Amino acid sequence: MNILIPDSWLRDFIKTNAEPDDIQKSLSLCGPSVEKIERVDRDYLYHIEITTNRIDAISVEGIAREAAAILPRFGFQSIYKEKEIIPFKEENRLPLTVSDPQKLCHRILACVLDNVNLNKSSKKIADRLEKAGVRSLNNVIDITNYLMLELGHPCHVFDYDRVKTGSLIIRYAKKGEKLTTLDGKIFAVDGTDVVIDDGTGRIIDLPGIMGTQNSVVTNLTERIIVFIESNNPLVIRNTSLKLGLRTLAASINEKNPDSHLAKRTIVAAVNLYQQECHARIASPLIDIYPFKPEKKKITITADFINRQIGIKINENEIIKILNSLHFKISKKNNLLLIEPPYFRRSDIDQPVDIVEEVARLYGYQNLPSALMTGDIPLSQKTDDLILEEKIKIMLKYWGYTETYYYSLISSQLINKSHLDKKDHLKLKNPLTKDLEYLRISLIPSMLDIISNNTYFRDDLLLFELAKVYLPSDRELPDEKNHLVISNNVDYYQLKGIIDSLLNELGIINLKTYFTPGHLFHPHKSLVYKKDNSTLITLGAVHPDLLSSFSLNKEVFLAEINLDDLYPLVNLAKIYQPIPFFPPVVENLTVGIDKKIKIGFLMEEIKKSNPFIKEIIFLEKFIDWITFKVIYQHPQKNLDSEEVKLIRDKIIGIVTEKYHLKIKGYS
Amino acid sequence: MERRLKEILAAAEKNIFNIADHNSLNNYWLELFGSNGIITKIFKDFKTLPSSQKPEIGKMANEIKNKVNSFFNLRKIEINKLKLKQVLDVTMPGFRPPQGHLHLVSYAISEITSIFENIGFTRVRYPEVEWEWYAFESLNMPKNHPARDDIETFFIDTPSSKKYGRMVLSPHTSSGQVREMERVKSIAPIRMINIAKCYRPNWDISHTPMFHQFEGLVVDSGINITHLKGTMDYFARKFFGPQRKTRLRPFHFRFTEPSFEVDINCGLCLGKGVLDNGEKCRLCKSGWLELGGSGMVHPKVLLNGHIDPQKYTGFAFGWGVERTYLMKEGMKISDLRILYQNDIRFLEQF
Repeated sequence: MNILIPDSWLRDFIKTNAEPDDIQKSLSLCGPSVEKIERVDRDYLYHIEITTNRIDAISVEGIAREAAAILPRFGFQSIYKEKEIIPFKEENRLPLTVSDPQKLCHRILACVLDNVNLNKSSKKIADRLEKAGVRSLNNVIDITNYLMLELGHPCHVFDYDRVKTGSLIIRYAKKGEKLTTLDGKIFAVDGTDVVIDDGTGRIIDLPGIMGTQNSVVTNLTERIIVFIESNNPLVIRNTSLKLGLRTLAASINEKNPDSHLAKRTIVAAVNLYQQECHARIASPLIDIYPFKPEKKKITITADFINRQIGIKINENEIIKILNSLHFKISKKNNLLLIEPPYFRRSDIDQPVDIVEEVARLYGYQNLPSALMTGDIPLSQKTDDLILEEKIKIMLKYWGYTETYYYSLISSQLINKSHLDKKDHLKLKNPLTKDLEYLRISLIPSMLDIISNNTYFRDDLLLFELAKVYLPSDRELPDEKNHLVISNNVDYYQLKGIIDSLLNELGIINLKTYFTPGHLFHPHKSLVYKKDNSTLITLGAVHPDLLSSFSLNKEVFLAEINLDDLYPLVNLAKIYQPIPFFPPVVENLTVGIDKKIKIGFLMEEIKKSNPFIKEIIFLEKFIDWITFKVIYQHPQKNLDSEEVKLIRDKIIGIVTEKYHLKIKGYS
Repeated sequence: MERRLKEILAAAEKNIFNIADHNSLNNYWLELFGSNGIITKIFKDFKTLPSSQKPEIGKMANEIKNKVNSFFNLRKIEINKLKLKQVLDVTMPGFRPPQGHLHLVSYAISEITSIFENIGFTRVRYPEVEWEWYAFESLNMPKNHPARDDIETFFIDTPSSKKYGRMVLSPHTSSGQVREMERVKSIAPIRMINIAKCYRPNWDISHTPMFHQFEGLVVDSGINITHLKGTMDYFARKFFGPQRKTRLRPFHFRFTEPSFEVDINCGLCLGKGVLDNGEKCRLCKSGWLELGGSGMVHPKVLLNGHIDPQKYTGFAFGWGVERTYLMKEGMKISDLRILYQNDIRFLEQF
């Protein structure tokens, strides 16, 4: 998250000869990133990004602490001055009881003050708040915000008289309870939210997130309870997200600010109320502290640090760096025993965390840059990745354009495509109805793309290569690579693409059948199979489907199950000696009728004699088709007698079996 | 014989100069000089002549043979000259082979892949629909981590697994880290480049709910921060150009420690923030542009992949394919959503 820190405020905590530009540059390289500096009046405003692990740096004091350690590494002088906090004398004039029977908070601190002089804030406080992006309201409220920005711990203040009972009980809310926040909005809370009760069952606060209308300071306030709790960060995050109350206090509290800082903050608050509002202390400082954090010690060696960083930094330098960041170090032989400062307790956990501290202060920009020298792994890229790229390039140069659709489609698109929602995996939390179901076929989205583009181009030649997600009981879905190729031009153009693709991939001996799925025209489609598994469905889109996508022009599609096709691929080329004896080539023209299947006829002719090397389809003209037949014998020249024998066999098939006429030879 | 020779000469002359192409000329030459050619035959018949006529007729036959041959040569030159009179409108457009287009993301993926393959990385791909264990838990992102909120990650409406948690649409390619360690049976070295679709619930001009990431993972003994820097610099030079370099800034990710933000020096001002004419660079503002995240693999992640963090260390990075590619091309696509709208007028441009 981003915070705004005025340069003048920062310099309360650090004495340095570094200019704002220097601070920006140095801090960004070694610590929190200063994204920009803004000129405001006669001041500068730093826009700083704080990562979630560095909640200690979400304050003016925290940034000053970082800057004081970092700036000397860039040759600047810097002296850090911690916020001065003056212990106060406790009183016992006004009663207050605080209880947390279920131990919902790590620490609770409270103190009653009276004689509070509610007024406008002093110019310094008001100015600083406004610069940091917080609206100044009155001195009583402003002090809580001021300290949150200055020290990094949220702080709350109740109107002592509006609490009425002098009692604060921390408890879980009950289902059905409601509360009204200070801005007048009503929220329903439940058993996962933590609230404060005044002992009568009345909710008087949503701690750590936002005050409630019935207990916050008003213009009439004279007596206050200053209140800070270290809550359970998970509860804060959950409630704040659920209710949509993303206050600055909530975003800090959900990142676990330190409980020692809570104590410093409440004392500082009392100090400020005395100074700014002439308040008097009226109660003891209540401090309920059931969960004191344990002291952390991390053991590490300079050698370990250097191995991770990749250069040699000597031990004294390491100790100096860590000291500048307030880490305590004791030495035992070559072991360094490291104790992080209180404000880094939640973030420093492992030896590698210490490595980071040393490395960033040493400066990543000062490390050399080198490629790995170890063995290169012998892993092999898998076939699917190699072939995928080949296929895409083939299709591109055969005139097809690649599309990328979302993997998720709408129920509307599923219905339009005559598929069933039940066969698809569904998102639990879709962003929109448009992206709700994981595709099991690439056809619905391709039809959508075609129908969206028909106004722009007459001829659309498109393909998409992507995964489909086939549900599998209690397991991850079967993610299959599919390829859909489509055109709205011609069936045979698409079939030619499929046949060339198979040829290019060295796939032979697929069987074809006339049993397409219900997405295809029953008499204009073909299925390619190998051992009962369907590899390719090719054909014209079913007329019902065309009309549900408002497509007037016929569309031809091929959906290819690539993952099942890949094992059949054979890219190895085998050299065959160039035949010494020349082939005999003849063109054969045959009259056909609608009932015969040319593919079957050609297959039969091919099989009729081993010396028919190839039969090639040349053209179809009205009801005549022409083939080229190549006769070849590997060991000799075929003479005209031998050719005649083979040809007679062909004529027999054509005229007797298929009852077709032969127009001639050439 | 004499008469025949004269007739042949006259006919040959007439015919040769009527022929308009080399092919026919060649055929006619065979008619005269082939193994059964007319003139060849004359020479065959020569031996039947009385020996008194032989010298005279022989001389004449040779002369005619030479003459006919010279006609052929002459005609060849003439035919070539005739050809030079032909004119082709060379400005008419040619017949182009069909040409389709690949999607921007495909170009990006193949380019990124080949750069990393050159330094020993292997491209892999892991499930897009993934268990929470691989997407979060194994990456040191505990149950309550914000990325696991349903405003940050898509969840599948299906029963959870006792062992692996809920089913999610992988929000990053980092889910492949522990999968890769499992694939190599936890035996280093690893140099992985994992490129895949990722999903997050964001949809605005700079975010699409589906996008692509490329994830690098290197694990071996002795891997340290300088290797991460070296790899980043290598990629920057190869992908963006020889004058580009990277820098690391501290950042935070759960699955790396230390973690870095990687910046690249601006292609326009080369990191100075100021142009040669003294103006402030408007592209980068400060000399550097953010590329993406990286870091040293967290020991807990290595442990989850059954690799001993005492013996091995590693680094990882995971960046957006679209973002990185658009930065390279300097393409000003004001609304990223156009990438997945499949408007043919967009697709045809690449």
